[in-house]
Amino acid sequence: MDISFFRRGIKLSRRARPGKIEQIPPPGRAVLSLQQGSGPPAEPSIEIGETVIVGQTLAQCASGSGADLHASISGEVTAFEDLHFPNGTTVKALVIEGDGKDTWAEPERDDKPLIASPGELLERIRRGGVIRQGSETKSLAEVIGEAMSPRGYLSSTGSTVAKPVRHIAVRFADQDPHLDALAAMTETIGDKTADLDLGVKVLASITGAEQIHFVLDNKQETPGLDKLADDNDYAVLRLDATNYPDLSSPMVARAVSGKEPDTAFKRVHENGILVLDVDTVLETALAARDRRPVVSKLISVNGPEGAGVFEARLGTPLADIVSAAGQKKEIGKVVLGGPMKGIAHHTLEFPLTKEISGITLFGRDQIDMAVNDPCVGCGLCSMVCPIRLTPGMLSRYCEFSSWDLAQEAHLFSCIECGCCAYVCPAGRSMVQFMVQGKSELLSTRRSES
Amino acid sequence: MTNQRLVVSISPHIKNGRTVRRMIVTTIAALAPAALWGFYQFGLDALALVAVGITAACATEALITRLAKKRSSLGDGHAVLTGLVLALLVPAGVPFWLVIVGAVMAILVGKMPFGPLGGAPIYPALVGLLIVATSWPTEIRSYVQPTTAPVELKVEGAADAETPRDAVFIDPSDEAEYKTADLFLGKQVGPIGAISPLLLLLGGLFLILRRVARWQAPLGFLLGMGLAAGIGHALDPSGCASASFHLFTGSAMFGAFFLCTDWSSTPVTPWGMFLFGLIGGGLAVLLRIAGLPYGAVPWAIVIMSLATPIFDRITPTPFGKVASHA
Ligand code: SF4
Ligand code: SF4
Repeated sequence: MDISFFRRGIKLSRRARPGKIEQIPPPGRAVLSLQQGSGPPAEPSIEIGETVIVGQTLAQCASGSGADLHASISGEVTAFEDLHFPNGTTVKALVIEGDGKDTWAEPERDDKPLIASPGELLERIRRGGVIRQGSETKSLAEVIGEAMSPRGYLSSTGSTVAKPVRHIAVRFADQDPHLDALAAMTETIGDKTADLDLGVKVLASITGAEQIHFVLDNKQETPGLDKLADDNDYAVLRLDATNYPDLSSPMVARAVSGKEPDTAFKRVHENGILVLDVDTVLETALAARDRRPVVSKLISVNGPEGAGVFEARLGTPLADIVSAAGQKKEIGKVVLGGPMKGIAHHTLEFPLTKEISGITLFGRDQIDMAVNDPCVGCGLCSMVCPIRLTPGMLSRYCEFSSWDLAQEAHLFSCIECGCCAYVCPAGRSMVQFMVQGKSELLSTRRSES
Repeated sequence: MTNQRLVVSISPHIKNGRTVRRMIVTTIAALAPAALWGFYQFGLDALALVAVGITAACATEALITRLAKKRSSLGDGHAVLTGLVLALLVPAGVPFWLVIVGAVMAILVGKMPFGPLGGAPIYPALVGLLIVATSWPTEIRSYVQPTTAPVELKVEGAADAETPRDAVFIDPSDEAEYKTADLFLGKQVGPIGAISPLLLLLGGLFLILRRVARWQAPLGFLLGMGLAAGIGHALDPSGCASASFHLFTGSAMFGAFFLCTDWSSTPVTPWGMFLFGLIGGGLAVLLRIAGLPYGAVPWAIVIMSLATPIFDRITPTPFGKVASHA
């Protein structure tokens, strides 16, 4: 029995909704990373010097967790470039010099995609380069393909065990209430309701899911969605996004099924529940019906001087998006994603990739420097940890390299939500300790096997 | 906007602004009403003792950090809190040197050997208090007649065997002379800062609402004391005072809200904290009945602190794991 009683997690403020989505014109030059998501980079299928049109395949992943890549502007492929990712890796990227015409590939429309076989639909999703955001951002086809593998398959290595998907939960708001790309998309969903419905049905047809859930932030007004849910017997669930991290996948899975999924080892659809974002579902519909690949992205910008939600082509320099949001003055910190889970990057000279759902900017005076003092044992972190761990202990184990103790104390269940660091009065870099501990343990395990 | 120097760090990128210093300042603020009541009841001597205690603690800490060539840690306010708690836990009639020795010992023995804040296995102020209480058992019991109290002290002069002990009159016949309401409102004899259960309770609730302290250990402690005293009183009314008497005298309330909620010397897991308090409360009553002349509550909490690592093993079952082992 848990006798914490105070609700776990933390309370964050909701930012005022910007309301409309602004379009950012296609850039003159697009830099497209061959790696989109955490999978392996895709193999280029074109040569330097070729002319391409929007939607044309540039690189493919034979299989696995990587995602296919498509031209996001029309023009000429001029170079391969090195891209430095915030996690320190360097990945090759393709550069397209735009011709300013923005010519699109003819859509191959299939008016009755639901008649197609699940295998065929899965292939279309893979070729459309759709990814799924999550603790590990992977190709959507890979995630749901896992669910299609024969039932009862058990991996003796203890890694991912494929389980059938019984529920699909579609999330209409970001888990971080400071990001609102998904919320803006939901507000303006209007005529895309049919696409949403199609996307959901395609996914249900592939995975065999029996029940669809719409997961909304309780402040969202969505008459169109309610009707859609009503007509199709989809369940609607309203959660409070300011109760961070109630909208994260494991918490949503619990809210949907009443059962807590095991969060260790980044299993994506434990308990047969697959949590997907609404943009992924819409991209699925386009890939299945029009065979239209992912070439643009909604992105939420939040800075001291300006905020907004923008639609931009992949490969657009982030600096362009940030200036469109009205940010002019010098900034001190750039975070790809929201303030709770985003990754800080050392430059804005980085192109938009499929993984980036938001940019959070901090002025020089707003930066919160980690002081990383020793743990004072105040126990605040144990009170807020949504996974009911004892983060202070874990951080000490990791600090003093007691990796085995950390593992025994369920380090791998940590979802890196950052609640512990948010409250820690000693300013400890809690998430850093957790991440470091996990990678240390994984690498020793790998070298032992 | 290019070529700016940007800061890179791990998530999360925002904090709720809590610092150790602020939490300690909140704790001191929560103690203030009880301290002021003590000054009112015991006069300027009490105020002077508290000032001396705080000064001695700060001076010791400053000196040690300087000798050890470490960054001064005075800024977090912990030395002030240590001196304050120590002085609030002694009666107003003790000599100044006793408080000074206690404060020096608290910092020198209780805090500094364990490195930076958060290392001390026992609450430093209690280390100091118990060192002086054991070394000078007569001086420590220099109780003073409060300004408003229903019962006159029987013997003038401090440090006499007839002086009421702690405010825990182990002889339950003393109980008859006190009204429970008087005890609760702070009209009683006792250590400077511990005589007002009402103000300590309010201060403690304030700490809990500000989330500086957790409710589990205080509740457990009060329950433990109440249960143990209740059972004892039912079995032998002449050998053990009633539960309310035990709860409202001595440093019971002080211990529950301000000692059981220390950071490094108490557990951090929900059940760990509760059981820590529950057993500690029972132990305090046992020590009182056994006739410990001074500091049953501090001793009980110190003994429990030694077992803190054991209580910290009572962790909740993590999210999504099946409860199989304790
Ligand atoms: S330990 Fe992990 S799961 Fe728990 S609060 Fe910290 S980051 Fe979140
Ligand atoms: S919140 Fe920070 S200082 Fe407090 S116990 Fe957790 S890690 Fe230690």
